Parts: sequence; C-alpha cells; structure tokens
Amino acid sequence: MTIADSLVYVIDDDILMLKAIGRLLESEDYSVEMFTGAREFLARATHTGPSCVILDLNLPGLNGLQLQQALAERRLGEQIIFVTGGASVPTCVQAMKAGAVDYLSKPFRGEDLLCAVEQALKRASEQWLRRSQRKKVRERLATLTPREFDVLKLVITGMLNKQIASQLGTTEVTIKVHRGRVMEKMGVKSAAELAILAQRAGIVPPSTDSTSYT
Amino acid sequence: MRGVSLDITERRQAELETARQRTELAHRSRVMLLGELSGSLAHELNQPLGTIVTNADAALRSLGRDKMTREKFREVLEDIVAASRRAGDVIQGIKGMLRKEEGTRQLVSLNDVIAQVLRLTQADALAHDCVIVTEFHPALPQVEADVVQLQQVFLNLILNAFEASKDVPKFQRRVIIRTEHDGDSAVRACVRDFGLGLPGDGPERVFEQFFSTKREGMGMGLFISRSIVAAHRGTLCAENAKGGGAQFWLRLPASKEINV
Repeated sequence: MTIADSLVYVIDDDILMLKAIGRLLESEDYSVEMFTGAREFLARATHTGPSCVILDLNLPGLNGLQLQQALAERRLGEQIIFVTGGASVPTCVQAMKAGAVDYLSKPFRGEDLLCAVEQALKRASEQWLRRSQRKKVRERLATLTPREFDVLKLVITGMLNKQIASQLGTTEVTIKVHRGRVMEKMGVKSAAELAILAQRAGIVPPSTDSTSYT
Repeated sequence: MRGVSLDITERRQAELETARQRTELAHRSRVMLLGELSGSLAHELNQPLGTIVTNADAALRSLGRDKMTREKFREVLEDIVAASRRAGDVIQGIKGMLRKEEGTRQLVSLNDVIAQVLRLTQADALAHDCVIVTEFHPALPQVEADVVQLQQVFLNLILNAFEASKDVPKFQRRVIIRTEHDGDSAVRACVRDFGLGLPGDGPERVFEQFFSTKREGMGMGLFISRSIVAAHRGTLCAENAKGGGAQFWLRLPASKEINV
C-alpha cells in the first residue's frame, strides 16, 4: 500500500480552517478531499482504498460523534482524527472509546496532525489489506460444496483423515479426495495454511466453539 | 432658599447613586454572562488561531520545498489576515462587554446588535444543539441605545433560550429571533424558544430578582435586562408562546431618523 492509494478527508464547517488543513496535507503530498458538513461527506462516492477522516467535533447538523457512529455502522474502515476548538474531557473520552485515532485541540501543531494522519492511514491500510484478503478467502470458500466445507472445518482443528471419516460417517479415501479438493480450491498446500485462511474468514473450529461463519 | 437648593442636590445625589448602582450591577451581570460563555468564547478564538497556525505551518513547509506558487502564497496570507481579524473582533466584543462604565448612547439597528451577539454565541448554540433562525426586518428604524447594554440584554435572552431548550428533544431545539416595526414610533424584537415554557403561575415572575431555574444562576439576568430596557424608555416582557416554548418581547422607541 502506498500513499498514492490513500485519501484524507477533511470535514470542518469553518471554510478558512478547512482550507488551511487542506494546504497542510497537500504540502506533504497527501490526496485530500474537503467537505463543510457531515451530510455532504456521507453523500460522497466511497473511496475504494484506505482513507482517514479529519473531523471537526462541533459540526452543525450531524455532529462529529454522530458521524463517527454513522461511519462505524457503514464499516468502510475510515480512521478518524478529531479536531476541536473547545475540547471537553467527556467528549474526548467518548470519541477515543469509539475508536478515534487521535484528538487534537485547535490550535494544534502541524506536526501533530501530520503524525496522526500517518498513523491513521497506516491503520486504515492494514485494515483495508485484511479486508481484501478476507474477501478473497470468502470468494474461494463460496466455491466449496457443503460437504467440502464440513471437511474443511474439521481439517482446521488438526484432525487426521481417519478421525474426520469416522466423525462424518464415511471412508478415509473419500475424505482424502475431499481434502485434496478443498486444498486446491482454497489455493493452499498445508492444513496450517488452510487454518490461517479460515481464521481470516472468521471460521471458528467446532472443537473450540460451536461452528460459526460470520 | 439655602435649604431648597440643598434638597435638590441631595435628590440629584440619590439619583446618581441609583444610576451608579445600576451600572455596577449591569457590569457584574455581564461578567457573569461572559463567564457562562467562556467555553464557547475559547472556541471562537481557537478556531481563527488554528487557521493562522495551520496556514503558516503549511506555507513554511511548502517554502522549504519550493512548492507553492506566488498566487497560492498570497491566498494563504490573505486567509491568515482574515482569521486574525476574526480573532480581533471576538476580543473587541469581549472587551466591550467587560467595560465597566456606562457607554454613550448612539443610534444603532437592533439587527446589528443581535448579529454581534450571535457571533459570540455560535459555539454555545452548537453545544446545545440549538438551531438559530433569524427573521430580521430589512428596513428597521434605528434606536438610541447603549450598545453594550443592549447586547447584554440579548445575550441574556439568547443564552436563556438555549438553556430552556435543554429539556426537549434535539430535533425540537430552535431559537427564533425576529425584529419588526411596532407601530410608527417603535421597534420590537422577539426571542422565542421551543422549550418547556415559563412558570404557569405567572410568566412575569422570571423578571423578579433572584428568580432562577439554573443551578448556578443568581437570578439577576432578566431583572437587570428589564431595568436596562426601562432605562432606554422601552419594555421587556415575557409570555408562553402558542405552540409551546417561551417568547420575550423587547420594545424600544424608534429614533426619528429612519435609516434604511
């Protein structure tokens, strides 16, 4: 992930402040999009790469904390940095608890904001990478037959073919064939690799918990 | 003869003393009002200061790397100047309110006075989730008034309206400020909220000394506001509005000179 794929959104109802933050970011070669209100921002086309949002807490209409919640519900993984003209401790705590990267009081040092942006985009990139991997795994999982999926769930607990066969009431040879197909479709060479992929897709082995596929 | 002249001096002295006390009380009340507003005032100052610092920072970074055109630099500097002016205006406003002595009477438009007060209360409105709607009459006759004192009255009414809005759901929180003619020789302003309204047993009680619903209130704000308006030969009254909430009417005699 390079800086070129990532995008920084700035939302502040004060145009002068908005432009200033935009200039600061552009001086460090970030791609920036600016909005004067939460609703305009929510109406935008979604960015496909990692992104972060520099958000003024005291917006008219939908305020910063409400927008943070709305973004969390959409699950696009934008990381949020709050800036505020009058910081109160309770709202700061609330914002950080809800997962904000940082909380800066105006006037802040340019250095501090740029640090926060770097950190936010790092987080966003990691999350974005994880998400795209998960998506890939799920696409592969979708090609499995129900039986193959059952086998996969048991393979990742570390069971041998013999044990799986007895649990599923079939022969070891059949399981061996299934296991081969699962490995092929999932694009892995070992049970360990398969376990890692399954974990990424959120599959919990049945021995530790009831089977779930979220 | 001597006795009579002494009598007049005494009465004059008493009048002066009353006026002095009123000025003193009004000043103390303004200081308290500003205290209530201090968090928001900090916000009003931090905003332009943030703009200045961030712009300067961006320009310095670009300067080091020769990245900004002359035109861009000009824009940055212009924004810095604009933000500095704004910070200056806020400080001027505060200084005016903190001034102790009574100001001189001058011709002003109620619209301008209210607009100046709204500049100080923006952040407070946001903090209370209150939307402010202004319906200013565009061609209002001026009034002769002490601007600072009149600002104080409106500041009081507006902050009270925010406070009153606290007990109703957010979508309902609105403060409407309207100015209009009142006959040929007067103007009036109305500040209306959509809160729970004034005490049912007599809306006028809010003007009594020591009447307060705020935990930290002294109960002097509206009492002083009314005395200020009376000293301007006007009236200030309150009622429960149709459709809920309270509304305050401020009426002042219009100046003869009509200024459009």
